[in-house]
Amino acid sequence: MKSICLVERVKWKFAGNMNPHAFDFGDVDNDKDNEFVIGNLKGELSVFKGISAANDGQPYVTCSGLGTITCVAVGDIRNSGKNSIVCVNAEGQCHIFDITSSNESDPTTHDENIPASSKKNNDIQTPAMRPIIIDSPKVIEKPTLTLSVPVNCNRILIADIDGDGINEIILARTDRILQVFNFQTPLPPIDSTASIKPSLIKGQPILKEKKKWCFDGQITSLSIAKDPNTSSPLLIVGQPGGHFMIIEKNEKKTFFPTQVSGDQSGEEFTEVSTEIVRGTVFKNGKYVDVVALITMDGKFTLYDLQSSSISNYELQGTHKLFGMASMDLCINDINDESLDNEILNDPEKSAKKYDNVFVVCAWNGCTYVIDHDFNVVKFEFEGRVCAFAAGQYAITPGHNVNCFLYVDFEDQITVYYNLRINTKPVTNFIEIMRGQFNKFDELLGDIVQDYDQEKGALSNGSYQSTSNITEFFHQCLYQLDDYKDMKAKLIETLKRKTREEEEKKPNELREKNELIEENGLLESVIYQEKEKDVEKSESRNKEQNQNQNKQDDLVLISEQDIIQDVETQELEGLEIENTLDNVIGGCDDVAHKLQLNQITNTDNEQFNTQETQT
Amino acid sequence: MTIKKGIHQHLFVSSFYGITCFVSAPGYWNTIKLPLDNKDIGEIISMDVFSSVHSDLIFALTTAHSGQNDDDPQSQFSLRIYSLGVLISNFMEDAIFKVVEENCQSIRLHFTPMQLVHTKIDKDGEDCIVLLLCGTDGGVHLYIEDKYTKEWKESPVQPYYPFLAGLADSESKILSLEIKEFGNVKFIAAGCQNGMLHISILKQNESTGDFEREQSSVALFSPITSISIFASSTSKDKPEEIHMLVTCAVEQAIIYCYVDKEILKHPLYLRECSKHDSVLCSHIMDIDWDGKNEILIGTYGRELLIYKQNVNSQGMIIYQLLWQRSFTHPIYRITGLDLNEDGIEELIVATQYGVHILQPNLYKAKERLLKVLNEIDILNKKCKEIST
Repeated sequence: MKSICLVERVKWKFAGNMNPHAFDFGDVDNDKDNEFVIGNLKGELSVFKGISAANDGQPYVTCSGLGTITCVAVGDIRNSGKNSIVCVNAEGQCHIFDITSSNESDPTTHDENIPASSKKNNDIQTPAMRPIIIDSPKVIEKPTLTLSVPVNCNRILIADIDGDGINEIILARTDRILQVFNFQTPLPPIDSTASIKPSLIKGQPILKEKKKWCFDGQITSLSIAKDPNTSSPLLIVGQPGGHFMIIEKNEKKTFFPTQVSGDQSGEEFTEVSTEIVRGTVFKNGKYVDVVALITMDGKFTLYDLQSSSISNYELQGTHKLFGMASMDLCINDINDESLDNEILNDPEKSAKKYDNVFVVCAWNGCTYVIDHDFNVVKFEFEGRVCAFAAGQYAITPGHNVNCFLYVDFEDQITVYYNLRINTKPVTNFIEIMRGQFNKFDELLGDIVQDYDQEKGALSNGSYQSTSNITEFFHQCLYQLDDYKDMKAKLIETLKRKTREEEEKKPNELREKNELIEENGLLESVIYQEKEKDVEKSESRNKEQNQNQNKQDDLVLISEQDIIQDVETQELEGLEIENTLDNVIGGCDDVAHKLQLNQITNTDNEQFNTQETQT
Repeated sequence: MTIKKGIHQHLFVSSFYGITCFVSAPGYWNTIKLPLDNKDIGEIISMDVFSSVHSDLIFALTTAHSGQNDDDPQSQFSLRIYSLGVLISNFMEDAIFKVVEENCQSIRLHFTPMQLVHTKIDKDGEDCIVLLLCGTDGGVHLYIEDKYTKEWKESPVQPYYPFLAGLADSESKILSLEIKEFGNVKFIAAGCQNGMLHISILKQNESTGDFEREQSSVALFSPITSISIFASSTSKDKPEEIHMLVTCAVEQAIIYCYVDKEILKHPLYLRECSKHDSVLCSHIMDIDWDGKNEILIGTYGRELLIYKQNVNSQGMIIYQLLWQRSFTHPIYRITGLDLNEDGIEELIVATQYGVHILQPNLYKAKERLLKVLNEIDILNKKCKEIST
């Protein structure tokens, strides 16, 4: 299990005890940036927007006197394309807030004076990180609307569960009853005349009960998913002990896991709370929904809706798990300018679509990020957690990024952002290089000892026995000296071979003439290079005498020449290659000596004898 | 603290009450907590791990006992040396357990120990590894292993390091000590608690074989936390430029350029460092595989900074901030080694509460390696072409 540390964080102020589910992420003011809404048991609701040092952790909007808030959701309940905040309390009231641009004309919020339409344009034109300055939280006296709902609701979901294109409000009650409502504004009477303004006729909107179901066990969580086969919506209701019910749009109910009696003991049916979230996995070219469950005692289950297969994983935590969320890490990757761009640019990687990950939190702050292959990354938040939220939030305007939010018992919310989480196990460099081996078979076969065996082992997926390849790669990257030596040796052999050939056929005058020409050319090159490098080498070798200095210059140049050599070859191909071959062959005496000098650098005697040769 | 064993390199990390070893292996690493009895040992102050001619694994600790009844407060400190002896083990895991089982030698110290380093000296014509221990008594203490009894004994510093012996007279307490050799030039640098930086450079004259000594000192006015003497390129044969990086608790980090020639005359300041509280540690490493060393700096302000050497328009050396990253806790130590034996060195950052292992961008490494391989490949092919 990998452990990570998260560095970038801010702290917000938020007082009071709360229901661990009375929060939601969502775009409450319809500016495409996500805000965070949270309510406590004292009836105080706070909306947080952006972060900046100026607002000192103060909320953007607050409202109080809302009863014992048990659940909060952000969604388009009116089906008007605009989001509202729905806040339900235990006393049977449902408060609806519409935080629209008209509400924002408060002079304390600088940014929001501009009408919504032009503001949006503005944001597009200048996506710069403009901090939102909030001098003090804006207090809303009362909700836009208050409707009555059943008492003791503890879970809310806003979603279209029957596929009619209209969002429903689904409320789960502590008495194991699940109710589905439609938000309806009574239509004006048919006999109304055009002269009467519609707003006057519009009656009090109502919540119309659409459906009602009773469950055997407590409803511990609500989620929706899309049936991978029919693409129709599914409502998923969490039941204690790691069970859940799928309700299809035709109200067909299926209880999962279907039969537990077979392979599992009877004791398994313990009454532990179950959290459910929907995840997505990229399979066969499209995203498919997966249901993930976590029980309080650490059993993590993935249920594949397509194949109806179940896979389990046991989280070895010491504390009870309670908060769960699904997160798409890929979004952070795109925004991350530094390292991950590189991966995205890589064709192998960018073609591969990302699966989502699941985030689970325990009461003691231990947070686990789990992917579909059950790779787990652990983060430890220091402090006990009252509520945990993970989702997308606009830290800076225009960018919704993944965040972890921890509500602690000290009246604070800690927000972690710029989460650079990679659940994948540590990648081996050899694995990344694996696809490239065939290209260099010849070279690696020549240089690396036991290359064929090691390559064979590698193709069987074993990284244990590739020590020679690894060592060679390490040399290429970290010991450029060795690599240069290797190059020098290669050129050395190259020259020796050419010379041998020359000796075989000494009568070819034409070639010799050519060689002389090239020799002159090379010398002029050396001269030019020498001038450039005089300064450098002087500072390097002050203590060396003039002759040595000269020698050293040449060594340096010869190295450069070798490098140039290769570069030109790459650029211009074979034509130049031939000429260069001749150059190297032609200036054999000089270059040969240089190479020797390089290899036996410390050997003064040999050094001197060569000196006399010139 | 890292140890090289054959081609494998392992990492030892110490906290107050224990030592953990990260044993590298192909594709993974093991973490092993050394089976040391805390009650026996007490708090660990400093640690060094190395291998010598006599032993594959020698493991030295300086410890402090929180003696509650001891009348003599000085006797609380001790130097403990664990040595693997003749037993040779192929597995580091095995070696670790054996080394702790083996009889440990404990030397009582009559001063508060600080940095513990090992270095190679020439003793009667033989290479020999000794331990150097800086103490609050102002001196540097040298411990040497007896060839026959395998016992470690304190020995005078004077014959081997007259420069360090000379420092013992001053009231300064040496916080950091760096001994490096590049070719025929030997450097000894000592940074003191009172901010004094002493450096001695020994050059061997090529023609006469005599040693020339140059010495210099400078007052930096704040405790010196780390010293690194390094060559700007990773090339082993002919280091071109040798610089010295000195970090101290209050001021910004300083690079003394061309320290072998200019000594302390050419200081260069790394200004960004001072924004992040005291600099606690530094490390030199080629992080981008270009054959040039980069400077890594870790601060109490939880920031890791990486500088790259460059040359400005006037041809002067400058250091540019290449990368930086925040951590959750103060950074105590930085090092680099290939922990999972895949050819790429990981960056290890030890902070107040943990060890962070950072892997470089492997796609950039791949790009770089392909370029190098291509170059060699072309030469290799040409070689073959001619020989046929």
